[in-house]
Amino acid sequence: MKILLVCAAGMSTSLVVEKMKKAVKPEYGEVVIDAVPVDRFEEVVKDYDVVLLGPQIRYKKKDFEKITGEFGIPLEVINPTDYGMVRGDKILEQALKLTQK
Amino acid sequence: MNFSERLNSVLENYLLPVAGLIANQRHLKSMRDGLIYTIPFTIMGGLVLIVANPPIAKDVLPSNFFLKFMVAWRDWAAANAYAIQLPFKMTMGIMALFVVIGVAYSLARSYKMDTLSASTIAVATFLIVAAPIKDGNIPAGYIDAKGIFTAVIIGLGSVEITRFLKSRNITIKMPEGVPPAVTSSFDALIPLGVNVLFFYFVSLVVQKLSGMIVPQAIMTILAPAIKVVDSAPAIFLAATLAQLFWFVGIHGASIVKTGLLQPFLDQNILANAEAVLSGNSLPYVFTNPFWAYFMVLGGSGATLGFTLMCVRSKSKQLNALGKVALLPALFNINEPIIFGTPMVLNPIMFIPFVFVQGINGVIAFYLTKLNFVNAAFINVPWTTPAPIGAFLATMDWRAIILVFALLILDMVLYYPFFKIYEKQLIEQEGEEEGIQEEVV
Repeated sequence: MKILLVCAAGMSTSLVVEKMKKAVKPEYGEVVIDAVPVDRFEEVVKDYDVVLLGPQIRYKKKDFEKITGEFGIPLEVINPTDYGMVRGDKILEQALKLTQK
Repeated sequence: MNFSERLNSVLENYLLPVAGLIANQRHLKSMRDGLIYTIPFTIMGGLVLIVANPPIAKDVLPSNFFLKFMVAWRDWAAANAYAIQLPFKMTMGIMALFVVIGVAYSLARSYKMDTLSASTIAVATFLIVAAPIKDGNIPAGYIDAKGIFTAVIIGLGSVEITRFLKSRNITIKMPEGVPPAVTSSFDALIPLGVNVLFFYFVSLVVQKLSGMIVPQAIMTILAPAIKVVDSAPAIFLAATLAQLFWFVGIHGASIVKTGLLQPFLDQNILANAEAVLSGNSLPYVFTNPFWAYFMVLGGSGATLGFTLMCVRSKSKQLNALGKVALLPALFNINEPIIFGTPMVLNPIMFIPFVFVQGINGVIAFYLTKLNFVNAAFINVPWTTPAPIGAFLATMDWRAIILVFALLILDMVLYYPFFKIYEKQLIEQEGEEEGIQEEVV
């Protein structure tokens, strides 16, 4: 399972990624989590199973959904409160739920 | 509808589409991406400037060990000025050349056109317009800061012309039987020819009419705009707009600053760097480091002071947040504060969150203008902690004092709102605990 997080510069999201990695449990299987800045989204997106956007770039959602739609990759904006408190476990759950839909 | 819901619907209905428009508009995006490519060059040039300009006055004498070192450095830098400055002159000193490559590349990539030929065509076109060769030398006078706007225009314009020719299928027609590889090797010929001739013609007309070459003319036209951007009202307005975006939870700086003002800020800092090398006074105040270290102190909204107060807060939520947010805040990253407090759509925090950053900007602007602190002339990565970044960008120790003074001011400005919000949270937390105890 490969999760992609996107934010403006990839800085704050990399903080979230660290916390998410710590929340990974063995029963989830192999989980890869990466953070990229918004301008690299198009290059890398097709290699991932699920995409989460930082809430600060949610104006990109429609645009990005056109691309993820082509590949059938689910995409959601991260819950702002979880993002703010850097709750890696909650955000990881959000990603896992998305793939199960 | 309560206050925050109403604000939410108003701002989201108006600001979100605007944000999307600026963020997704192809030419603005290509300009932005093109300028981002040039950041390593400005940092490289900045490092050279640090070596070339030790932070010590010309008249200081070597009275102790530290000063001996500084004076030796100063004298060495003066004696070897040409050799030391050359890497600067070949990076930041010809910045517009990298800008034209970056912008043409980005726009061509967005159209899925051949990026290499787009960049090379743009360079040739740009040089014809901005640096006509004379006596075997390419003059560098307008491929520095003064050429940045021209570089953006030519980068975008030349790719658009090429795309127009392609869309009208204007290419060299080869007779049947000519191998396709041969035909495609001629593909770049017509766009190159048309671009060069078109811009050469424009250049000749401009020279004939105005007596100026194109970048000179463009800078003359843009001079009022450049002047307006480098002013206290513009700084305050930019900060407030960016924070209004942030208040509804969208990345305001990437829209207002990086999205629209970037070429101005780049132009300003390059012109400052060149002024330092030629020993002139620094012409501009508003630059990237100015924004990063004086205005968005601790992240958008100037929240470092607020973060420090959170660390010591009696509210469990703010206290937990402060601990998560403090370290990133030292590197000017504050999404935890923005979404964790939350600042977003929080009516109590609206006033400080939207206006403090602009207040910082106005104060720092006038202090710079009055020479209490040097203007920035070195581009430093924005994630450098503010006191260090401000010092490196200005090579002036007084910038460190300014950072701390602004930090204290921000704490004072945030304090009343922080207190109201904290009290509210503590009450809520008390209620929740009460409920839990009853359940137990």
